[in-house]
Amino acid sequence: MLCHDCHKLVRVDAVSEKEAACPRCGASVHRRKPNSLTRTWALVITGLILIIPANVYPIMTIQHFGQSIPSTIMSGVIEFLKAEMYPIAILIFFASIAVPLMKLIGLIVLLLSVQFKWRIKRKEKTMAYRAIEVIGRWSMLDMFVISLLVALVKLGSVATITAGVGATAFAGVVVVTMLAAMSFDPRLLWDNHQNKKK
Amino acid sequence: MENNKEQLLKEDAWIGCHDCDLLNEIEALPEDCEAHCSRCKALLFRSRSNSISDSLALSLAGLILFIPANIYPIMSLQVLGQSKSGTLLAGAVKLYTGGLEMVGVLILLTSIVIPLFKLLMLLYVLLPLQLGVRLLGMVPTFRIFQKLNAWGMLEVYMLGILVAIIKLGDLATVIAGTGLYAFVALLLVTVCLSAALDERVVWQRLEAMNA
Repeated sequence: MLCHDCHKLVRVDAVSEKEAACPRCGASVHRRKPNSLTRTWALVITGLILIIPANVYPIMTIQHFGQSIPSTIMSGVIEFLKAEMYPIAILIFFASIAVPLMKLIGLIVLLLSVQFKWRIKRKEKTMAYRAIEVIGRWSMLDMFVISLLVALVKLGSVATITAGVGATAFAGVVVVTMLAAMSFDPRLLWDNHQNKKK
Repeated sequence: MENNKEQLLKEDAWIGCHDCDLLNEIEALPEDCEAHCSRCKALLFRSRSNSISDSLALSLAGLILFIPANIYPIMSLQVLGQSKSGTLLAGAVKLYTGGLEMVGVLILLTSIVIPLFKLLMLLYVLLPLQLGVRLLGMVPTFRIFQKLNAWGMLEVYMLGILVAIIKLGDLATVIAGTGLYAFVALLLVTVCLSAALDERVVWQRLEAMNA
């Protein structure tokens, strides 16, 4: 069996399997991550629920000469499109809307393919999982932009930016999807194929 | 025949693929090469020369750079005679006091606390290894370091800074602060560090030390 943390190969008998510990680093060793599917499902569903307020509620409010202009993630993208700054609009759209959705949909497909033993090519499933793992942190982009804007644009009634509830929901989506990708055990994807060969 | 079998069963001759669970036979790698799983092409390990000494030097550099990156402001905004500047910390604090405590804490963690702890933890493990000394708790520290790895998001912050600069560029004059240069240097160090660090070697040395 493979230790999750230090990747050492550990020889374990069936008898002591439940409480085996890695001799090198002390992590508990299992053949597959325990409850991987359950935990991943729970996190994915939480993410799906959170993604609605994240996009409906404003992530920031701009106060400009007495006017309060709330701005959601989507309106941020539209603003850049109107200003003809297309590359940035695409970047923000990608990082804040496309990526979280793709992660959630991707994980759902992987989960279902394990549970219902779908016949998707192994290579594609593995690549999908790896892509999900790598791309997750980049959704945090908009959060960092907001934190900078909020800190810098504090110029009284000329212009002040404050953050909105949508930001909390969105931060939740990012964290939850990252945790979901981490709790999914990719080796499950290969198990079905192994059994079929036999 | 018996010797061969014994050799095959020796644990250290094999490595398990983390993604597909296939056992791959380990061959000695020439320096600075990568080994991939024969079935799913996942990265198994890389062999890096002088991993520990290089990583140690980079960790120290990172820690030194960390201070100016956080003390000096990243950039300042000038509009109609008014000027406002902010450090990395300022954004997180403003979000916290503005009622979004959780977001503030998250940003604080991912941009300041976790990168700092990663550097400190790496120092705590690598320095004793380099000096041949054994400190208490090196193994759990390295385990936690590995788990925290994905949560340090300095590169994403960097891109965020660029987007913010572009977004603000229309409204006002944006001036880069000293903190920004230190931050960029810190980012480069972090990137080089993840390229230089060979976790396998560290674990092998830790194991040898505790044996």
